[in-house]
Amino acid sequence: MAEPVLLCETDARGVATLTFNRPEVNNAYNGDVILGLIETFGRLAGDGAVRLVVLRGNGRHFQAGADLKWLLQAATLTPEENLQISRNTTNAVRGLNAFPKPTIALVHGGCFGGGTGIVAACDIVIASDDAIFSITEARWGVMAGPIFPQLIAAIGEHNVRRYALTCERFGAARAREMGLVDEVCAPGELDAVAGPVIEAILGGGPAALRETKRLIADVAKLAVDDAAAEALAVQHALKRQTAEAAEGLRSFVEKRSPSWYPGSGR
Amino acid sequence: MSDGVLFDLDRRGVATLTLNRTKALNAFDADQIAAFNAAMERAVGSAGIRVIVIAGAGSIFCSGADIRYLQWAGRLRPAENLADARLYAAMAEAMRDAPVPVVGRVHGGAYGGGLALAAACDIVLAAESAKFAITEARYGLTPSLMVPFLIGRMGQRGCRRWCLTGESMTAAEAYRVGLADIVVADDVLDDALATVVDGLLMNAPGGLAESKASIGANARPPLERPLHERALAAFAAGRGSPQAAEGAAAFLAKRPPSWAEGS
Amino acid sequence: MAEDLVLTEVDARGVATVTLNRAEAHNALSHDVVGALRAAFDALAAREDVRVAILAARGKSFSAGADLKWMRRVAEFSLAENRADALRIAGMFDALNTLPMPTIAKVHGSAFAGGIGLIAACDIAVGAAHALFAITEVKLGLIPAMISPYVTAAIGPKAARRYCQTAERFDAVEAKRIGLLHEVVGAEELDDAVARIVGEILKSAPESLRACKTLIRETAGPVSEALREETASRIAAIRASDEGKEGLTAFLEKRKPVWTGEG
Repeated sequence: MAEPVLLCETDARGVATLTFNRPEVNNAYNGDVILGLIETFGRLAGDGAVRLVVLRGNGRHFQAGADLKWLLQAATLTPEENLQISRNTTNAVRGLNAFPKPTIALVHGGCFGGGTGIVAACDIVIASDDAIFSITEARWGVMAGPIFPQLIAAIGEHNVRRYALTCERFGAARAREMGLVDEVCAPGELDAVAGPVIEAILGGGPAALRETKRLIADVAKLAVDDAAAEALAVQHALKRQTAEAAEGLRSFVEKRSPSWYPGSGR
Repeated sequence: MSDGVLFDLDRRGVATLTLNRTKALNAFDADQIAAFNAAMERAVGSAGIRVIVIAGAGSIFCSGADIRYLQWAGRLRPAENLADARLYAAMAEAMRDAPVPVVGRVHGGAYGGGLALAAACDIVLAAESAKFAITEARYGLTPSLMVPFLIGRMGQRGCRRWCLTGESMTAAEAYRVGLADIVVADDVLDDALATVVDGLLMNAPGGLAESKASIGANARPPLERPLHERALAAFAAGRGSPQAAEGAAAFLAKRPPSWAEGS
Repeated sequence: MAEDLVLTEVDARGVATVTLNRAEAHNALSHDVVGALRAAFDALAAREDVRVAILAARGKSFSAGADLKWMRRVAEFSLAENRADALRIAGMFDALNTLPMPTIAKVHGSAFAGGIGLIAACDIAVGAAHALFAITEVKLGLIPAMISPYVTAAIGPKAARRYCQTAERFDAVEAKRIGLLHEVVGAEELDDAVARIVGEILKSAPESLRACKTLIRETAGPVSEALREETASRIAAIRASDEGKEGLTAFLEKRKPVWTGEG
């Protein structure tokens, strides 16, 4: 199939739109998507005509996290190949978080796992009121480490503790309460709400915007340095190759409770 | 084993520690601290441990440090005061370091050190009638040990207000500022707890342990060891300060402390 | 006269009120206002008897808008003069942020740019429901350098990323949601709301509160001299840049800057 997994176009004002394009799997990411994100953001950063980037998803959902079938397959690769996948994932989120121009995420439907990290790494998040979020990794026995720095910066340590440990779903209103989402609107209204925000950004000096984003990142220590990123990637990769992760991912595919669930009775 | 802290472990691996010094509103004295630390050790060391629940018997969750205990500790020689302070700090540290989720069940009230205990939980469930307050300064004390946990929940912004005003907050307010994660009607608190615990059991034990550790390691600000030692020393010294002595004396004599006269 | 720009009074309880008094300029932070504020904060810091300080302002706005006369002067500054001016402003914010006693911002009206820095550098902020806020620097091709440490600490990095880059106006309800304000009340209730909080603070031991405030700042990460110098260097550099000059010139000439495509 020749459909690109990521679509990218820039309008006359310099507004680039990056669209997740695997609607048949709810825009779940695989290696191609991750590499596409890294390449595209690298290109957009250096393109003088681009003033800001809007992220959105085709189909019924924004981004459902990692393609679990791809993860199952990745776990069978060599340790070095597996580690490289985790490095790429970590760097994709890091790169988005540090992207030198304003980023706006338009979220509808499901935003799970790595999708919450993508959202946490954007500057402004607009979600429709039917959006559902969850930090799902622990449910499948894998690790969400690569997105913890951005999530903690966005919603605070205690909220990440709660939602990463329970893997509960939460809605757009709750997401806004916690600071993950900035504005909530009716389905279909995402572009209408984004319009004035885009106009406001275009009213700011491009160099001033770049320096402002860099200023906040430095003041708030948002950058994940290379050593920290490597540690997150290593842990992420190792966890994926454990028996626990294999059981978790299998339980997803086989649509059953995982072996560690003791049942609800005492 | 002391009955000041009750211990239960079910077949699923859920340990429940219940503060049971109800005549003193579950206030912490030296015995109670030792009992809690022992119970946490027992929980963490239990084979197949999956979740730890912290609850309080009687009318409230926990009223914090026992005033007479603080007076006693404040009169200790510095080295002994510091050693005792380490035991006090160990409670929250054990909760933070436990490789399983720690869930707090808060009803009635969580004040001072009691609020600190709740803040150190990974997930706090509160009954909607529960009240919270950081009361230390009203007794001439500084909440030195709990500030890192409070910053993790309320941010520096929330800490500056609630630590400095000592105001009482409702459960709804506690939820808004990050001190409580889930607030439910009083009569469904245990149902809500059961649902949270069941949900945690559905998640991979190794994944949970690594997630909890990773979040702590990536927390902002990081909990640095020299700062912790300074906080420990400040906590110990603060208990022996003239303000603390006046605060305790005033409380026990049922009169306002000198700084609050006419306020 | 410089001493009329900021008024200070201290009552018998040790409650200080520092009032910005340049209503006709919406209490814009001109060179002289910054100097007067710094002097007021330094004087309070030296007093043992002041238990809480309220920061208030006269007129319609808390501190809104840019001081045109000062902006014209700044447009002529060399890089070194810009940096020195920025450091002076940074020093004023630092003096406010590190006042030893609890501080309350009584935000009776709108606050833009530097005015938001004043609010963020106070411990507690109570605002009137009609007040509006905006971090406007990028519209002038500038960056909110000196206020960024305080604003980021108050509203968190996520909200800072949005409002510092969009320069959008937000209302008091939003200001509370993101953490800039702790409470929002009707304008006519503002005095009572602040008085209530003052009353709560006076119930606590002054030395305990001072120690607590310092501990929160040290734990969360203080705004170091190195950071202040870095922010001063950055604003000086951007003021000297082509885009910074265009932004300022466009503002003074009452036209849109060229980057909007309409300049």
